Amino acid sequence: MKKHLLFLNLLVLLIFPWEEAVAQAQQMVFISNSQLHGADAAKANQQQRTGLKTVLKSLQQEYEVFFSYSDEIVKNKKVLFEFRPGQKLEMVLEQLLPPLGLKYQKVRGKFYVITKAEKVSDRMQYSRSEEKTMPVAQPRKTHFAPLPKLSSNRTIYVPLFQFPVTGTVTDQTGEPLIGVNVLIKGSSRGTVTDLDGAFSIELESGEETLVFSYTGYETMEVPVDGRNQLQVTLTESISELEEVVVVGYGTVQKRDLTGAVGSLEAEKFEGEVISNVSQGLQGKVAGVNVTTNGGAPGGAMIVRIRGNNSVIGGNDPLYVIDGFPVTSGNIGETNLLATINPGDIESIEVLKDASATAIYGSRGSNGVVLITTKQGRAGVDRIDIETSVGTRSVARTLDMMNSAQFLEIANERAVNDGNEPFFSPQEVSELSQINTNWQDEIFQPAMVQNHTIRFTGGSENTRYLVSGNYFDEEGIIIGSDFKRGSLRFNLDKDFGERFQLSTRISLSRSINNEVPANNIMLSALQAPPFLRPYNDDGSYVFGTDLKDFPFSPSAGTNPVSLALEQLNRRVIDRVLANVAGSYEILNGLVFKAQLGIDQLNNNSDLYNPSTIEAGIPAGSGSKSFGSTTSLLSENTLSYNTTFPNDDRLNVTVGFTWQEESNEFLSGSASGFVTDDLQNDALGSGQFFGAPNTSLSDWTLLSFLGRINYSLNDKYLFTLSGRRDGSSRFGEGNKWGFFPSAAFAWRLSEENFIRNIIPSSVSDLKLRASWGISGNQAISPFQSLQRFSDVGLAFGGTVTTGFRPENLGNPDLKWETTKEFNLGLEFGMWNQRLSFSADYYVKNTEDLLALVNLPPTSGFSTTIQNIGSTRNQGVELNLAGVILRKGNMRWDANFNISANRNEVTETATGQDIVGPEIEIVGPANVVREGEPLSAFFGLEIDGLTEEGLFNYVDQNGDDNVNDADRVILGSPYPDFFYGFSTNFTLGDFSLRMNFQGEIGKQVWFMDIYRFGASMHRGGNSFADVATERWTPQNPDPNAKYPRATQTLNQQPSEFYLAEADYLRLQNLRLSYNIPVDALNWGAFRSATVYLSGQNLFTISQYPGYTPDIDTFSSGDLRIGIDYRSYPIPRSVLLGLKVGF
Amino acid sequence: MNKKIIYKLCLGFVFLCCASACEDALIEEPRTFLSQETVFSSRAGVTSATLGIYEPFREGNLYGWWLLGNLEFWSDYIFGRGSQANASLYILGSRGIGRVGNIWRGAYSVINRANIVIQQLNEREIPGVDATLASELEAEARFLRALSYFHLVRLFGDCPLRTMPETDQANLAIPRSPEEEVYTQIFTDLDFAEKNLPDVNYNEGRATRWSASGLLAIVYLTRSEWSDAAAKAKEIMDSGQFSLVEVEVPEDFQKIFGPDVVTHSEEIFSLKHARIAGLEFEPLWLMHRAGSGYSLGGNAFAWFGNPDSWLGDWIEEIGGPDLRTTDWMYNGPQDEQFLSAEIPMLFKKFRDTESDIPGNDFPIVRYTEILLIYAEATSQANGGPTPDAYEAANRVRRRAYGLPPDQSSEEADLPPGLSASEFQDEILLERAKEFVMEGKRWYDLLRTGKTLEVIRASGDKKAAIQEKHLKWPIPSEEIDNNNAMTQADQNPGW
Repeated sequence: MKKHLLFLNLLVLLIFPWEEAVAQAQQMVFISNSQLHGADAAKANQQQRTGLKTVLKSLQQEYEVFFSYSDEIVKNKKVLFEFRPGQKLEMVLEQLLPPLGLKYQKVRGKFYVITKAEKVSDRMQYSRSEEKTMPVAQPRKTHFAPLPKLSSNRTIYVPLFQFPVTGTVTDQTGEPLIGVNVLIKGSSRGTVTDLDGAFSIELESGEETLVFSYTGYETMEVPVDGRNQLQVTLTESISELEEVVVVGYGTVQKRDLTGAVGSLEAEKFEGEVISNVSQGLQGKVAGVNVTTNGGAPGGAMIVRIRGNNSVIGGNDPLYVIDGFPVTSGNIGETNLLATINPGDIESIEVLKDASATAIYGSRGSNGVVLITTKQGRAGVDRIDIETSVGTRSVARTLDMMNSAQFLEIANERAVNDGNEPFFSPQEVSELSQINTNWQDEIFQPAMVQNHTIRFTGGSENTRYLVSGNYFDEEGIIIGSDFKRGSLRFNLDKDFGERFQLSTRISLSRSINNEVPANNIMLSALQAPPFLRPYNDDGSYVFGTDLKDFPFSPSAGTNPVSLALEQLNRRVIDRVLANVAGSYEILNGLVFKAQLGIDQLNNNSDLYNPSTIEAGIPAGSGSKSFGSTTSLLSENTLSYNTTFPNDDRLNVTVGFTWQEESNEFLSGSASGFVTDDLQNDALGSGQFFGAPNTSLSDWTLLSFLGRINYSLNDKYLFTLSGRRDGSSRFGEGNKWGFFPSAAFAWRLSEENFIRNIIPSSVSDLKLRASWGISGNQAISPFQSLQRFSDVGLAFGGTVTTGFRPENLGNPDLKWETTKEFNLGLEFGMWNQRLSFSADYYVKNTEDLLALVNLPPTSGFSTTIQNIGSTRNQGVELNLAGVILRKGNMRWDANFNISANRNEVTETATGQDIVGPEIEIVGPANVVREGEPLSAFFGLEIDGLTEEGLFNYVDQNGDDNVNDADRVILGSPYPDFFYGFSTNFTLGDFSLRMNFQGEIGKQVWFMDIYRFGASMHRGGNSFADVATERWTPQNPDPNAKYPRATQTLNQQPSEFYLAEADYLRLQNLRLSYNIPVDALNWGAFRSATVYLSGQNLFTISQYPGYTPDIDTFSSGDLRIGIDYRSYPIPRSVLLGLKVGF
Repeated sequence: MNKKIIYKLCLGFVFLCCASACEDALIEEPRTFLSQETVFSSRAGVTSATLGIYEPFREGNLYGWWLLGNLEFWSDYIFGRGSQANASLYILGSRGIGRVGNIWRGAYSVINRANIVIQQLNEREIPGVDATLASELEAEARFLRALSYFHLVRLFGDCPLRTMPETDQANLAIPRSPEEEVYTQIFTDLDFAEKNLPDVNYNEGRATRWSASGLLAIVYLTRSEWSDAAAKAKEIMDSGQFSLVEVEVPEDFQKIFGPDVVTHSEEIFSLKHARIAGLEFEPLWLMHRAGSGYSLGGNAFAWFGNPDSWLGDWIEEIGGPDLRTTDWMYNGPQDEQFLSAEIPMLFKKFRDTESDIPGNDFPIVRYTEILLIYAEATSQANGGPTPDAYEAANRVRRRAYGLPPDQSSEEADLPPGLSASEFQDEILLERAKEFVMEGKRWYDLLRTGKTLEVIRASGDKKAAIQEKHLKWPIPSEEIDNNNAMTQADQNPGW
């Protein structure tokens, strides 16, 4: 026994002075604990000690009483509290409060007031000269008990009273507030209001200031100014400084934050039609830019926190759900986050700067999104049902040419190319009569529905949440839909005082019927309007018939049959489960072990029936199975303490291990005799593809640590570090160290500052941080020289060959991001108005880049650590309550961010050219001094005499070639912003979110096929009919070039489109049915709401959606709209009831 | 009890920390992939690596699209459609140049794979690989390397000559070598191949010694080394290994080009394909009209004939005695509906009417070519066509007419009494017809120096060809990333 005590001592001594700890422990109230509540509990559950406030809240519920106290006196007080049923409340309070220097008084009935027991230091300010022998003067009317006896021989000071003040305290509606704490500022003396909201108190001079505080209301300071009578109206609290914020491997109060962290409560996206949580982030957090590669059901989203750092290392943030760093990204059209029901989410924290993300080490450089799911509360068993049904539609369609215009240009093109007109005058007049709107054929009004039932609650030491959700979203393109069913089970169980077990289990199945949106839209937009999707007998017109003209493009098919007849289904089953046990070894010292699994199975079915393309006598199909298993073991030891001088220390150290393995298998066949079995009997096909399998895995081992210290509640320090070892890197480069340091200064707590700023300033904080985080998101095995197998057809059968896959690079190492962040937080009128500003510089070094090799090497590219990028930017956030009067409340939040991205160095100073888009060519380049993936191509100086593009010969060598390409623009906006406002009047409330981007350009690929005057032979935008160059009107400044097959088509500024926009992202009108007033029996609450998404967008952009980015991460093709699935407009009606 | 738990937990924590320090968990073992070490440590591995050299020829950079496509639509008798229209009119732009660059890329990919195999075979003792097998495999690699360099040197002129694999990323610079050095390497490789390859290889489609001989004959022909070309052709003719496939009706040509032919008597070297996804002969979708029934799936008919070239006269003969026109060109009531003034003719020499994954093999050296080489080279070497030369050429023509190749035919045989140059012109025309869609026409024009003259005579649309088009542009990826090259090393005019 001695041995292990010694061991513990040693362990503890490493972290803090032993004596201090013991002293600290003795100050703790060893009552016991369990009644943690709700969100606070979920966040704080690794701390065995519970906040006093939380305990008081639970007691309120248990005894159905009401406590009144000033936040000031309960803050930062932690207790070990055990509730014993049947115990009298007074006994509990007797045990609980005095050791904390607090006392209570029963005001009347259910009202209790908690105040500070008199403490020596408090009284020193106003009667310094009095000696201890003075008798205690009894005020005429007081609610204070006699001073407690002090055992020491310390001096006791006693004040003099001579100025009586009386008054009443009410809320905004004029209702008296009972039990409001009234304190003389600078002392601990005070009183509370009675049942009529009245108080009376004796002052010394009448020059004092009274402080009125009340739970749920803002603390108010009223200078007495010699008045004997006061009327005080308190306003409801909107303070957020006490909020607990989840950070990596722990929690922290918002006021103690040293890093840049954005928080989002679930209610901010409640009632939106979202399949996944990243859609809910859109426009709501400064510095977080959420775009999409299309509006397909399942919601593949692109989330960028403070810009793009990496070339190929990936720019997606790390998602951590209830402590588990999950597999994220998209599989097909399905965002893996869509497998998690957003309705189960309690809060989201976005870690932005390195001081916040460095604790995630090698995965932190793109920011971290921490997601916390809901949990039940003790003692209150609840059932909540939410249901919503709505419709979606395409927000905008493109104007295309009609048949007459199509025929005219088709003939003009033939003539321009030296051929006879293709259509005779008679054909022209006949075909002009038919006008098919192909967009109407592929878009549909779609239905969306979402149903959730949630059971929450708990007893003394068990809390639970069980929820079920069904989400069904039809796509606005025919044939596409997404369905998800999910179950969640969250359970927290306390075993005795120190051991707690916490379980989070989520099961889901998502079924996504995908459609090849790009091909469908291509086919619909280019199809001749005088043709129809169906024959007279109702059968599909073959794709081949739709492009059966010599000028027809080779790509495309019948979009309707492609959408409806092709089977393209993906089923994703996911189990995300983790179990955490925490044990408080000593007071404040908690060991926590977490084990988790994230199992993703994805099955995909593909079948092309014979009806799609003419000539195929039989269909082709494939089936594939993929499985991703991620296992996590996390072990942390944390120590939390508050020193007698109120300094706080938190130390966390830990070890984690995560391993992921991926497997894939697919088979394909074609030549099926019948379409009936689709791809279910591949063996019945005539021809077979080679089976395709893959297997990969990676392991990450990490040691992490963090120290938070709060000195005098003014100076906050954070130091953190993580050492990561990754299997993905070359021998000798496997380990990386990621430290960070941060400092915050709460200026508003400094007297010399307080003296110069208005008293209405409630918070003023400066933050500065520096840190290093990494990015290891390259696929495993990149560092090795690899060979892979390849099929060959010697002798008419499959023969296996091996081919070298890459040039091995054993020098591959971590890509690291060094980030400096400077932040300012400012709040006024007790945070009624709050403002924060952050400036940051992120330098990414050892950039992992796909570098071009000379083709003579036998390879195209290799991955190297090369060059650097810099992101610097500013984020501003302004939030305030504009109006608060009676039952009216209007608040607003505005955020705006600017990020400047620059490539500071590339491989040997040379450009890295992005991949080609369709066959036009590459649109992006990585060049020193330019934004990552800047748009580049040829400049255009109008049209030539022949109506072709007149490219600018930049180098004057009389030869327009690749050497004349210049930077044309940036794929990033100058600014992006979000604005949200919430107006409540009684039971009605109206919420709106706007978002927009300024200074944004998009590479609008559609113009290649639909704006180049029928260059590729398909239908074109309607204005091509009137604004193109023609031999009759050879305008060198015409918007569109000559209609010809031999257009001198090159990547150029022709493709750039202005894409500034402002969108009403979400509007929600809700009504709380007053169930109590209506005597609705079992109902606890009921809300109906009407909500709309993407209701309008103000933009000049010629395509469907301005904020589109077709190609997802891991690619240099950034800022390109390549016929993405349009983002729909939605309207839905919802109902929420609680029992 | 509690203390025990504390003790265990703490111990467990410390243990986990220590255990983790063991870096074994971080060592990568490729699972789907193989390391070079593994590949070259067995007979099967090195054989598979040798077979892997063939793959780029089948892919899009080479015969899967861009090599074949460019060779054809740069020549006189074919136009490209859609995005390939411009290059066939000699308006290249960066797209056209980039596509030519694909050929360079594909060829060096073959060379690199061959270099690795040759180096490993020379540096390692591989269990199960005896000296004979080692030299056979090396010969196979050298044959493929020579074929690749032969394309490069004809299309681009001087080119970087790499015969050892370079694995150091920092050391990839390499200058262009003069054409003559490249040819020297080609001869060295083909000699080695001819000496060491088996007469008949284990599997149809793998190179044999005759493949090497056939390619040598083409190299000699290209260099106008007439007697060597004739001698090499004669050697093949005298081997008795090959004979013309008999043709009586047009459809009989599908015994050579059809999708399910495994091999045939005039195959000297072919790229093998199968009706298996990924192993197919892809260019069918570029040759055929959708719905024509000759190729299934979404076809682009991107390569179509130029009636202002020699082709215009030839298709007049559709249905006539030269059965090739009937079998190789769109014709007849079924085909006609797919033709128009703008797309006047399409080619159906390669067709698969049953599968949308076409299995047609692609011939690189056929026996007909050996006969025509013999005819041309003998005539050139002797200052005029010898009876032997006539006979070799006439055999090809008689077979084309559906006649017995060894019986003279007034209808099919070339007119007697031709001069050397008249005879060569006849042979060139014969080659144009016989090798329609086989990617040989551009090379024939280049080697005879008639490119500009012939192409300019093939209609106004083709008139834009210039001197610079005779040496194709080196891709910018090479010049940009190869420190031994600058823009000054680019072929003139690009």
